[in-house]
Amino acid sequence: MKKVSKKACALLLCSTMTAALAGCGGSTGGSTPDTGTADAAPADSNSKEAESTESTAPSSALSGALDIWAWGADDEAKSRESAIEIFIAEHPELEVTYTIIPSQDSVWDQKSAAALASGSAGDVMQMSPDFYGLNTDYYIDLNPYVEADGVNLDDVLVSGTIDGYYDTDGKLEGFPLLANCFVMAYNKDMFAQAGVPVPEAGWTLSDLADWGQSFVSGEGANQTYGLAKHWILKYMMPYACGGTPYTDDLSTSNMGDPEIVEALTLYKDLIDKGIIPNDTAMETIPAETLFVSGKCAMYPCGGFETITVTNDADENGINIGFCPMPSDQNGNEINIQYATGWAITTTSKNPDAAWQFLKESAYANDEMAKQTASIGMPSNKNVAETYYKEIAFKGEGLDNSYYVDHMGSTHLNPFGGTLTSTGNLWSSMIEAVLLDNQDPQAVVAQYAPQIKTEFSGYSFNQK
Amino acid sequence: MSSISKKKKKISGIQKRNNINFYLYISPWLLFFLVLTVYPMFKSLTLAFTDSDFSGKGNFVGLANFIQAFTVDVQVKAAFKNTICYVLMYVPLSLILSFFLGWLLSRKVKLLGLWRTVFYMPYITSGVAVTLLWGWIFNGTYGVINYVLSLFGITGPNWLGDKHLALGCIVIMCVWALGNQILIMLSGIQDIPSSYYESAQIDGASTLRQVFAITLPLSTPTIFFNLIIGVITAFQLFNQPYILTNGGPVDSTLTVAMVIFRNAFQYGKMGYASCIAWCLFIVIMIFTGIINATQKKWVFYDN
Amino acid sequence: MNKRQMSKTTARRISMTITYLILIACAVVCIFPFFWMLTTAFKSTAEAYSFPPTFFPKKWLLSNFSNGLQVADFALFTKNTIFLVLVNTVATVFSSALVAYGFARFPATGAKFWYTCLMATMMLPTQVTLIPQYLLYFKMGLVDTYWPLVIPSLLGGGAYNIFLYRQFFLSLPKELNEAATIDGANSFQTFIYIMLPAVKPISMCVGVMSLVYNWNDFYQPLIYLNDTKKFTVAIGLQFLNSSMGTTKIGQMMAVSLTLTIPVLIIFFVCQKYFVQGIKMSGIKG
Repeated sequence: MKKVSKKACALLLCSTMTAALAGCGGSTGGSTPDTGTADAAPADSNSKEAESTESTAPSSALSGALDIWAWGADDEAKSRESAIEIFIAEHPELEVTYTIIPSQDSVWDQKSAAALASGSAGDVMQMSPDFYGLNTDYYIDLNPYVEADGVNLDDVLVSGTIDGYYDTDGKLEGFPLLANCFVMAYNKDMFAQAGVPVPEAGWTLSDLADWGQSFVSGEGANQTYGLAKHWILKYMMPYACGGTPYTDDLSTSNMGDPEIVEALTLYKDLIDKGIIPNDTAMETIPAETLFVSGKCAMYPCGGFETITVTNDADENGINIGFCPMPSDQNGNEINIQYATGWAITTTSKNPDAAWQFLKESAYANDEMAKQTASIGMPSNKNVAETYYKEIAFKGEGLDNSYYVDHMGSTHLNPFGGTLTSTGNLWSSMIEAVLLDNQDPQAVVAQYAPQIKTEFSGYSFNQK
Repeated sequence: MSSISKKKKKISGIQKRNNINFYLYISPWLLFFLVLTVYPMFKSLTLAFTDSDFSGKGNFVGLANFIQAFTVDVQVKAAFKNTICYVLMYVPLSLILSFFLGWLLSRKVKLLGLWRTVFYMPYITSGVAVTLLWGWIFNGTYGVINYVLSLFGITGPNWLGDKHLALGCIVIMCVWALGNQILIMLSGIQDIPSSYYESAQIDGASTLRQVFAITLPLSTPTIFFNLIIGVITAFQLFNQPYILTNGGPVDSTLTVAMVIFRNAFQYGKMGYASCIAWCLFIVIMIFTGIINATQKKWVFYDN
Repeated sequence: MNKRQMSKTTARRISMTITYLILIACAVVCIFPFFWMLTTAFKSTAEAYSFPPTFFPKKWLLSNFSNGLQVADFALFTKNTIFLVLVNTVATVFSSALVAYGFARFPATGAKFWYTCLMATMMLPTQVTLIPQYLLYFKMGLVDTYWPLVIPSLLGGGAYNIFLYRQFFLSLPKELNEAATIDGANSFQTFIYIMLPAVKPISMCVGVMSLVYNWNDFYQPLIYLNDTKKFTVAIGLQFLNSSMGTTKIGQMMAVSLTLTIPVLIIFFVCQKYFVQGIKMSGIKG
């Protein structure tokens, strides 16, 4: 009996193996004719449709297949999915397929790089405008489409949302979907208790070094702070004392400027005084937790997390309000924009349909924009200024209006895409000052030349 | 004369059969290797001498990447230093622990299945969720470790924020998920024929003596496996520091694999990344080569 | 005589007590994060990070499970994963044993070279081979199918497993092989009837490791799969991991837990199959 079952088992294993091998060999062999066509025409699944698109006149009747690649987890994924579903419902003439990858970082980077390099990426790829310089060869220039449509983009898009998509040479790499910036959320009770007036537009982080101390009390796990150590502080700090990380045309780094030394000194000072929690208290637990549990008086609240923050605060009985983000000494607001948009790949066989999708995502379809509004400000001006702006949150007088009004005065995430290398060096600079107690002046002297070298090596500076 | 040639013929007959059998048995892997592995490896090697981005198109730059990596790039230097430190901490620790725990489990303990499951649990659960959890465990102010220490009146350090401790924390995290090695070690130890122990017991050898005279030498093939695999995987450490510290503080947990990832997919320098990857490849080759060369001295195969 | 016997049992008792004490200490360390995952799965985000930490939730939230499991189509993903795990586990155990047997038992010409190649495949970081490999799969028309996830298991099961099996085949007594040859069995029969049963414990190891690996791995499936309907549970878990710092830790732990428990149960149930190898029981006629 035992022997029989063993034999059967062995037989089963053998047959699995052979079947699998045969299957593999078969499909390899079967796809050999494909291989040739795949070389010339990467999106092999829709070669039939491709012919038909080529023959149809652009813009009039759309047809064929359209493949959309997006990223996003949780609510972001849901909003993206429902927006795409609306597009699908309204365009029965198109065969739309889409994929949503629940990872924005390492895996998306690798997957999209592999797909773009092999020409197997979707017609439409989600992208961030701060990824400039990286994908120049993979995305088509959208300027001709914008011109052909003859729409004045300023009338249909929220100001500040398209700027990041233009390359330094004027090429329009992508088209906006949404943008997020920050508002300063504050704990009303902590401000009342400390007797500190709520900061008004124009307040600076240097001011905070004075009045922020009123919030500091307690020790260890019971300590209270002035400002939560949100990860966005890393991106805000280069601007804190009137500096900029680099010139607008991205040709030179300014990371060696005295303003950067000042900013690092200020940052260190704020932490030494206990106004901002040190890394011992932060880093590995979400900054939001400290704020919604009443341990931090202020929290830079991004448009993507407003719901979470206001709900959690409400649940914990914390009374919060919104006030302006800080400014530098020159009165310029320090606010960082995170934006997400779409681009059309050069390998796309259906760029007209793709453009239709981009256009509707950006401004031409209010219903799609409303789906996006749950996780950020849609670039669609009409929806942003009515529907999105009026979305109210738990808490007195809390809504999205600040984000809409201030999007125009934001800095695009300064260390995205290729500039990540500068961002990583900047992280090391911050850590050297805050955690390793090195002298800010010396740190800047050590790292600024490295960043300069990085800058001269960037592809857009070698053109 | 004729008997010698006959013998030769016979040997070559065995050799021939060996050859046929060998290639027949390894054919699945050989197919995979030749069709799907050789080209990617070769491609990355050629990229190492170019300035290409991830499209694979770029100009030949000779040894410029290697010169850059070894003379200019301070991050590469830091990464190699950290990685080698990590390997030197992780590998011995994991070997000792896996052998020790494997041996304890082999001591006819009651509820072996339960223990085995418990020790394997970290490996099953390790992933993004658990890595995040460790971040919180190590937190200086709110973390569990320092909370427990504070109960004894000790103020714990800022584990992940201290550039001298952060790498050690990552070693602890990785050693914690040792399930596979323990499992393999246990299989190796259990494979030792009980007759060896029986005769040792008759000789009156103490437990400790049995461990060093029987268990340890006879499980050397398994230890050798864990050692080689430990070195190879430890040199390519990526996930834990990427999620937990992103290489910080001040590059103290930056690993070579992270530098490769950053250059390849964040900075768009696939050529340079390939160059670093091949340097790492050579380093791993040297380490495993040395271990392999010493194999004859300390690994005992039963036959 | 009697006294000596007694002192011996006492010594054994003491040493076993120490053994258990050490095992318990290690078990606590091993279980703690799992325990924390378990309780965090029932906590609100605020409580999850509260200080001093609460060992048991003040309020047991079941909503983390119901909400977390709604984030993705976990029923479908589980079905996909079970298929992949089954195929990969069976294929890995068999094909890596086969290849390893070749490496361990036949001193052919060129064997050393191929062995070096086998080991070398593990030493080059995958980040630099990913794109050319993807290109190959794409040219074969296999992107967005399960083939790229299954082929490595079918064809050798990976260098790690081959190497592991090889070590165990090498330590098997040669007489085993010879006895079979005398009986007139050909090498494949020897492999199936003598060698495979002899390395059963390690087959079990390879099987379990392959099962756990394929259950937990989200990297390969995310790279090669595009169609949401083909996704696996490990990808599903990623849908809970927001990159903007707003991860709902309770939900994430709840889903992680739900996905881990089946594997733990399978592992525990498989225990009785972790039988002793042939050397332990001795060679039987």
